Amino acid sequence: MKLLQRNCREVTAIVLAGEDRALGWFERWLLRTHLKACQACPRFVRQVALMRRALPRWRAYRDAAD
Amino acid sequence: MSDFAAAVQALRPQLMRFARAQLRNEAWAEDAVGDTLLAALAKPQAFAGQSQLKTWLVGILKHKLVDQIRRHSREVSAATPEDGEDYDALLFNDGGMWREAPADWGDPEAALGQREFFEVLEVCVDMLPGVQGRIFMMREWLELGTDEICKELQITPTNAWVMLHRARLRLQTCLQERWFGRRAA
Repeated sequence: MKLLQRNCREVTAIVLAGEDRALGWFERWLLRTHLKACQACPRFVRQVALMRRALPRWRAYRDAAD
Repeated sequence: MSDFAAAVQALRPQLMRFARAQLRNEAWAEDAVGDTLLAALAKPQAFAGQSQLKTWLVGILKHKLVDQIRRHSREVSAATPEDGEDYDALLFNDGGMWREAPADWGDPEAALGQREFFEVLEVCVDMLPGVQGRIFMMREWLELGTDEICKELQITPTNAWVMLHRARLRLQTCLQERWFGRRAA
């Protein structure tokens, strides 16, 4: 069972990797399993989602704003 | 000088700011912006006026920045000691648990609806260390895929992912400190 558990640092790394490459099925499974049991990491996932939404608007803001 | 040339010249400082943020090297930034202005002034007819002049120039600049990155790929990807620093040790204990649980950032639109939020985000991106900042900007501002970033810089995908991981973690920490932490306080 230990083999299939990941700590928050490792899960965070998988979450961030997902921003720049496709995750494998095993990584996605590890994420799902951990996120169901963890209080803290789902918040980090939401923070990353916010940054993902922010970046296209940041591009538009800096490229067009005076 | 024609009105067009004057309008193009007037945007030079803004283009320099963007070029510096991407390249983090004054001489390369000068070259990229110089090439951009030359290209624009040589082909005023290419600016059909459907878009803002600034948007058009930034489009040209982005290509010239990739040219500079390619030309200086070795130096562009030469990591500074700060690039080697990992925020992991700051955020997690030896067992890999959060030292302090991530904060609830609330409704995304509350932040994304404010111009000041993007000013803070800009500051946080500018504060990234050299290689992290360049690679992050290539990915999120020049909108290149990791495969293109690796090709231009002649680095491995793993190397690029490590830098992007560190950059994103720094950004998260910076936004917490400079925006979300302050709101809650």
